[in-house]
Amino acid sequence: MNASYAADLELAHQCAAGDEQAWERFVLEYRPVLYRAADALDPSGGARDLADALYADLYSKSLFRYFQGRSSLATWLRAVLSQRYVDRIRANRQLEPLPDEERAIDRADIRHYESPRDPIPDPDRGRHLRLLQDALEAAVTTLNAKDRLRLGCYYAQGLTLAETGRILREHEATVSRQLARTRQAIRGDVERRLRDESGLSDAQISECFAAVSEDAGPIDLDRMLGTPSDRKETAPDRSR
Amino acid sequence: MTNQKPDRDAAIDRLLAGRATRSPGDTPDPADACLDADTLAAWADGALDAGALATAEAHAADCARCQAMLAAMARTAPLAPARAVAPWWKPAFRWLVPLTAAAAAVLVWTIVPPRDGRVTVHQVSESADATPPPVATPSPSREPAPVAGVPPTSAVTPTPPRETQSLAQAKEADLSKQVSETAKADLSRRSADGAKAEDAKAENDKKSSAADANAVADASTRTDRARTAAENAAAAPAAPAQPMARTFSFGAPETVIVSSNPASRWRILQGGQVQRSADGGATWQTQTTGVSDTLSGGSSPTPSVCWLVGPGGIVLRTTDGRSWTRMPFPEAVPLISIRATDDQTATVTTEDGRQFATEDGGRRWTRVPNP
Repeated sequence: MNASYAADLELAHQCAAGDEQAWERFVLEYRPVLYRAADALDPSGGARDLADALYADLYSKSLFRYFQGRSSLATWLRAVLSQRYVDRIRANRQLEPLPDEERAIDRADIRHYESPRDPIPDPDRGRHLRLLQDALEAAVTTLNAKDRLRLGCYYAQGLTLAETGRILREHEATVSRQLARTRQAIRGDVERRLRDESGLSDAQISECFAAVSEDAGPIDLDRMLGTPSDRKETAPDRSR
Repeated sequence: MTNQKPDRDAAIDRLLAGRATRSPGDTPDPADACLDADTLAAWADGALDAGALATAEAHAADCARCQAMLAAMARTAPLAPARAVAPWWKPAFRWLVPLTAAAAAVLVWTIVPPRDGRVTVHQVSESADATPPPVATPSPSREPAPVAGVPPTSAVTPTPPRETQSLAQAKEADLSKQVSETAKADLSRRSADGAKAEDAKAENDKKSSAADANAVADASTRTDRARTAAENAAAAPAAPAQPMARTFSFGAPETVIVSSNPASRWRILQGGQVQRSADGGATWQTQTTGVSDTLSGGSSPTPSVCWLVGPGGIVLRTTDGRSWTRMPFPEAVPLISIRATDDQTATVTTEDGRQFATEDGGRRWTRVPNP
């Protein structure tokens, strides 16, 4: 164990044992940490109640006993707060369809897809999108865990390159390069699957990509696929 | 075909973004257990070994919840070390930084009055002007008297002496690891004893540390520990023992109750007097409490709600941040601390260690059984 963590662990043990002086020291030293973290999660102050509740639990429920000294106490507090924050958000999203149901809806919607932007429905466009989507899913699945995690952090979680790099212990330039490499690998894999598994010609493959690219504005897969749109529509520029 | 690649890569980019909009990770959470806070924290601190890290990455790669937690961790992480390009004047005038810091330290040193002297706030504020602007965070210190119950939602702290604050503010601005470590060292050292000689030495240490800190200001590191320790540098002098507080004391230390919003705080003065600040302690307004006994502690769970306790079973509460109401308490015993979670729920601790709780704003109190 890191020596500096040992001191934190001792403090946690003392707090768990009801040492008032230790608790006082903990409050003085770590309360700002928690509040800064809460404000970072929700600048409007919506996470402060979580920080307060965490304090209450630390005091009354001896939450300290779960701290094992594998990290600094400050980082552990941020982790517990992050966990509670994420769980609260997820609890508020419980009405979202399960992934399997979602896929079923996707298929049905794609089959009957008619773009609201197109006055004349293109019967092949929905099929192309579906093929592309299937190939994309398969291609992503074959990536290694680190590449998938990097994609998840950047695209799903909306982290910046620097934040993504912080998680993966990579420099942001490396993250950028790795994302570009992964995108190229996915594209190559998607092209291969469309050609070899779906039996599409090069022209048809081009039509598949065109179905995505020809859209003038940001692609609205949510609308195309009939799922709620409450998040971002396309990858923003998050190089900063 | 070759010229299609950029377009297709862009299409993949848009598809990935669209994929993300449908469902984070787009797969159900893996069957294996999610990362616990301990593992997440160890990951963030780089304390996982290669095997554990690979396992954690493999799980998080397909787990929307863990990805979200990692993202939250990334967003709450302290700022990365500053690696700004050095200004043009830095190489030539780098020697000015420690010199200036030393001069500032000497200035602060010279205005420190005799131990039993008093310096007005105005005078001290002028000396503080030589230091970087204060941060809007409480500058905690230690309560001289033992506190049996420390509120989880507010810090009950005596105001650190102004000179100490100045040093702390300088350190906060510098955010130097050296300062932090020195502050922590001071803190632990003071836990051992509070001899005056130790105080004087620590005081000199702090000043030289401030100078050192300025010297390395451009390479300062914003870590949680650094910030925390820097914020609490003012606490170091007073840590559990009081001697340093005596060293810098310009009068009786008053107890400060910082609310959940550090801008809003109260301070307890002698004779039942209470003052409130809505600007982080820059200005104070005296409030009428209706009691004449010196209060002993308080808790402020929200910026407008504050509870105070004192001798003879005094429990005071404000819910608007202005007017105080004395709440009935079943025994006329000295109350030494209170811990409140809102304007209705609070627990007080008596001098003899018993605790009483209320859940109706202080109208009724019930004894909390000892664990």
